[in-house]
Amino acid sequence: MGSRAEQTEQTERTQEQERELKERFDRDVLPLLSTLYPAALRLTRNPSDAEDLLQETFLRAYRGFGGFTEGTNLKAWMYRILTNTYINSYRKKQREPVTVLEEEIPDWYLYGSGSTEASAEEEVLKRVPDEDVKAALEALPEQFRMAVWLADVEGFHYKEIAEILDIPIGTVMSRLHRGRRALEKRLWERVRERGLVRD
Amino acid sequence: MSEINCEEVLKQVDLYLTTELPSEEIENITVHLEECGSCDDRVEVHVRLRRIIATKCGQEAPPHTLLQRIRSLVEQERPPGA
Repeated sequence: MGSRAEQTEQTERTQEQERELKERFDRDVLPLLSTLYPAALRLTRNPSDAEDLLQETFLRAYRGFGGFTEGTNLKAWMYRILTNTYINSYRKKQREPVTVLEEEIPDWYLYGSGSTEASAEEEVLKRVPDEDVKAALEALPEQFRMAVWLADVEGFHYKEIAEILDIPIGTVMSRLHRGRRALEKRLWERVRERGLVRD
Repeated sequence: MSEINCEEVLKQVDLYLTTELPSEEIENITVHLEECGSCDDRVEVHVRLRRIIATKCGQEAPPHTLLQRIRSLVEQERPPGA
């Protein structure tokens, strides 16, 4: 063992490292709350559970922050913790069974009016209230919901989504594909229910 | 003629759009889309759908109290191990 002076020096160095880590957490991780909040809302489907989920996520992130490699994707790292926390704590609580999409939707099937252009379809979908789009997304089974969220809202690549959700890339592809098709179908049902387009 | 069929193109749309494919496959799809109006429309609808989801689902701001609560939770913790 080293002398007392050496030990003191070591303690000071550790405290210095801890201080630096805490500063980095405040600076880099806490601002991600605004990004993760809507994600947590879509996952838990209610504000109170979303807040609980995020508190636990940030606490776990803080405890594990020493293991985060600087320069790698921090947002992906946080999403991984969010997803794991959700699976371990909240899915049990909400008793949501792991479900599959019941409907098989043929790839060639177009939900829109078919004959109109993509831009016209977008104009119709833009008029669907935000609440309806959120509800349609939240109606997807969670494994599809999360994949769609990470790809479409966050713009993560397949490889990153595979790492966040800890599933093979092929699974990411099929979840995204099927999740989006189901979402699209629901959106067009909503369009017709709200009379936003004539049949 | 392009060396890829419609079904394969639609399967690869995402990888194509995020340029996660090898350049040769991107080229194959690009050629296919130039020749095939139906796939081209489908890809366009896909891009726009992604945009709709992103703009309509990701906007809520967290309550101010949540950040405060997280801060104080973290303050009560031991510093993260380096």
